[in-house]
Amino acid sequence: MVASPQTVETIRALAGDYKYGFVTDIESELAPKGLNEETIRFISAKKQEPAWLLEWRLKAFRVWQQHQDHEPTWARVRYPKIDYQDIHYYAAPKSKDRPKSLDEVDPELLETYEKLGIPLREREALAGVAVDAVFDSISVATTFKDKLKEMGIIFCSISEAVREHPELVRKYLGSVVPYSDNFFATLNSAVFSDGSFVYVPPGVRCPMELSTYFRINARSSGQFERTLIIADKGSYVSYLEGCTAPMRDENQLHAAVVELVALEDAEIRYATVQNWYPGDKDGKGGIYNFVTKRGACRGARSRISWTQVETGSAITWKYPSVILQGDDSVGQFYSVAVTNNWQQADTGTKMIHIGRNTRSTIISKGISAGHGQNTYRGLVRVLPRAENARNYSQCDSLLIGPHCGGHTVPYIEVKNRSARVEHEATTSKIGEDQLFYCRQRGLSEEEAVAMIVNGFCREVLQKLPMEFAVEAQKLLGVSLEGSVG
Amino acid sequence: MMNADSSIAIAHDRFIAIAHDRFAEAGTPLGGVRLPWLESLRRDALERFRRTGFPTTKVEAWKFTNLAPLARTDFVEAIAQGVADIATAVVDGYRLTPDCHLAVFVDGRFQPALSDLGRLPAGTRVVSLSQADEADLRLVTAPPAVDDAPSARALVEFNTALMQDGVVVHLGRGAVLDPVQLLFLTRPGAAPRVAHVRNLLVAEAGSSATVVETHVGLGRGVYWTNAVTQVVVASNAVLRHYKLQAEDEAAFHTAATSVRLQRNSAYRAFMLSLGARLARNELDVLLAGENGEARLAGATLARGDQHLDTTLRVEHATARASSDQDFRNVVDGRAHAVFQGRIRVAPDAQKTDARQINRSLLLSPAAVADSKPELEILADDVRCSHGATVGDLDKDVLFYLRARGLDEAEARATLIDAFVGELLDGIEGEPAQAYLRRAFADWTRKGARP
Repeated sequence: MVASPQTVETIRALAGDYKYGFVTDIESELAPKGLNEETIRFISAKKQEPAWLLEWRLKAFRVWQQHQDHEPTWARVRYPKIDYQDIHYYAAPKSKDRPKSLDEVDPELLETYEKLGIPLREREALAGVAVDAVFDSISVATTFKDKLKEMGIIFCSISEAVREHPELVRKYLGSVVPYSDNFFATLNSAVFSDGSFVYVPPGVRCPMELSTYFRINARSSGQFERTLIIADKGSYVSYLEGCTAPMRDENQLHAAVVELVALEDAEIRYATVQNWYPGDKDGKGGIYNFVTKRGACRGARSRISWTQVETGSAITWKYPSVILQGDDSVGQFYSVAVTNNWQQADTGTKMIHIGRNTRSTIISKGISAGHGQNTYRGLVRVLPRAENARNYSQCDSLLIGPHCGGHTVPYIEVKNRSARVEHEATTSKIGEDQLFYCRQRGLSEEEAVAMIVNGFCREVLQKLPMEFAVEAQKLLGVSLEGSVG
Repeated sequence: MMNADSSIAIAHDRFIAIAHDRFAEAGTPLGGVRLPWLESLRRDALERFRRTGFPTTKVEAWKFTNLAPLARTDFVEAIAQGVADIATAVVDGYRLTPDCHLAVFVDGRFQPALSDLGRLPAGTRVVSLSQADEADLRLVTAPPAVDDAPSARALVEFNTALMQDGVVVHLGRGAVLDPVQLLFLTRPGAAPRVAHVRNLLVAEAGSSATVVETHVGLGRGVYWTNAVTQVVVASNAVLRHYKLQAEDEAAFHTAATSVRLQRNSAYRAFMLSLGARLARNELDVLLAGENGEARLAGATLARGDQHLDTTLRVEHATARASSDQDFRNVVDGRAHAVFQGRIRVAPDAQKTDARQINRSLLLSPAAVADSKPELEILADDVRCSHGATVGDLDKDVLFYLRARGLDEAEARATLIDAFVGELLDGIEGEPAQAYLRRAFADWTRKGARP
């Protein structure tokens, strides 16, 4: 499927260049700018957190403080130095009490969702999507909770989980991404505001796609999401994450952490469409997206799959990884990353094979246009105990125009001879003959590019749940508008 | 980690002290003539080495290779001892062909008496670095052809500061030299020795040569060869460069070869690495002229506790050039093979054709292979690809051979033979191919011994 001319036009008409570029005016409750122990105590107090969590945040903060001058520089992204003291670390939509239902939700908020096309009310029953909408840092509405509750599935904001299910949070929080993991994850651990929490009990198959729409809204408030998903023995859950953000000139920092835990025979599928503001044609503005996503296949025969379509953000720094601990566990990574104009993306995955007969697949498609720089950076590591580990990686780059760049940096480390690791990568441009063929059949150049790009990404797009796949295909066409001719 | 780092720092200070003494004594003339520019260049190199120190595994380019065992070793410099008392028969044992042109070095020092350079064809010059002219010295001390972080280049800086000898092979316009062998022999001494060898290979326009470079240890013992080779291939010239690294298994071998290719020139390299306890073979190739062609291949055969590293940087700085890399590792015992290969295509290098493949065979449970192929592409109209595989011999193929009556060992040997043999087929010129085949066969035989 290709973005039809109508779609493209509709989108243009809707928003000029960036479809989701608008600012909702809601009074925010802001923490004062700056990062110190006080800020962390403020956040923790605001959220009425237990002492252990405050302590955990403070530990993370102390580690971060020691390393604050050592922001990682190994990625192929260039950006002006971030002033971590010039950021609000907490912003909450003002509300006296938590709304109990949609009727209690600020109508202006609902309007925002309408514009975004979030299926909060209309599609509630229709699409079977339960939405935990995160507006800035606090969850304002959750739906379908009752239905999920019946099955014993917990799907709520992480703050709520801290209150209602402290034993689960305490057991798993930081167990996949420790608070000292890396610069941005450590920052997140210290100041994370909100995010989603999912627990699927043993043997339960979650009957619907769980989804969260992240939004960054308050002016210069970095968003520090923390997501924790636990699939207990023999359970299954599919989680969708989609992002849009309002247009704005200032660069906004986003440093999220997502942790997945799959126990014996459990399966987690995590899909992302990331379409934050990429900055304008001259590279001004745009979101800085420094994300740590990691899943642990703890139990035997567990499976974790990451699928991502990354078209937004000025800077993307993101490596969704899988630790294949359980025997016969499976990790998958399917990625499409588009960089147009002055966007820079450094993204990839890590597959750490620890258990026997573990398998991993990596399919990465990078598309660069304009002055975009797109890097695949990945690691496949087979440890000595991982008998019969198997990995297949394929990383393809497509270049559109003479000023962009496509880079591939895979690391392959094998310490077991029974392993089979294969990696291949190609870089090429859209074939003149392919374009000619499409043009000859009456497609415009832009349609032809969109079609070829969609074909190039097909293996990945197929892995997305239906509603995302449609959106993602359109998104690719829109993201690459103006890249040829 | 702390231990390794601090011992490196100590070794580093010791080396600096030695180098300073040397500068103070002799002012480090090369070829007996004091050249102020060269002296300051060497002092600067030493200063840079002093600043960066030995690369640690924190330096990206050295991520997989830990130099701590080298840095911990107390090396003394291999001092010139006049004529080396080595029998011609010993030299003959490693000679490419009985009548090839031959330059012999013992412990890093040129040995005219053992060499055979009397019949060089017109337009060619093969001399030791002490007889190099100023133009040679400028070329041989040029910076590496491809950029990398200064901390990654510390061993080259160290060589620049301390180099004392090496070979200059110069081919004038249209000259043909086929083949010449550069034979580096090292006799392990009572104390571990280091030799900083510096070579220059220049092929002027339209010339053609085959250069076979051999590094061999004579007897068991710890020593360190730190070689830097500069190669210039001018337009329409063809240079075939085949290297056999068969140092003693207790030795260290670090080599950095830097190649500049001009219009319509071709550089064909094959590197067979099977010696040394720890070896790092770096090859940088800059395609600086249109239609340049670099065909690079190599086999690393590692066993026991060997750590053998091959690091390539290929830079397409111009349009319409092509490069091809095929590197294979056979890893047995507790050995560790490393392959790093970077292809960089500059913004204007349209119509580039670049390929790379790295395959590793792991033959034992404790063998380790690390591979880091890397593409950095800044032009759009290109065809670039890389592939890497790691694994044991294919079970189905083994079964096929067993079904035809070969025993397990024979079947495995046949497959390993084919795996490396395929690459050896690409070596041009019968003598060079036969020479490297012999080295491979020797390696296989040695492994078959109980």
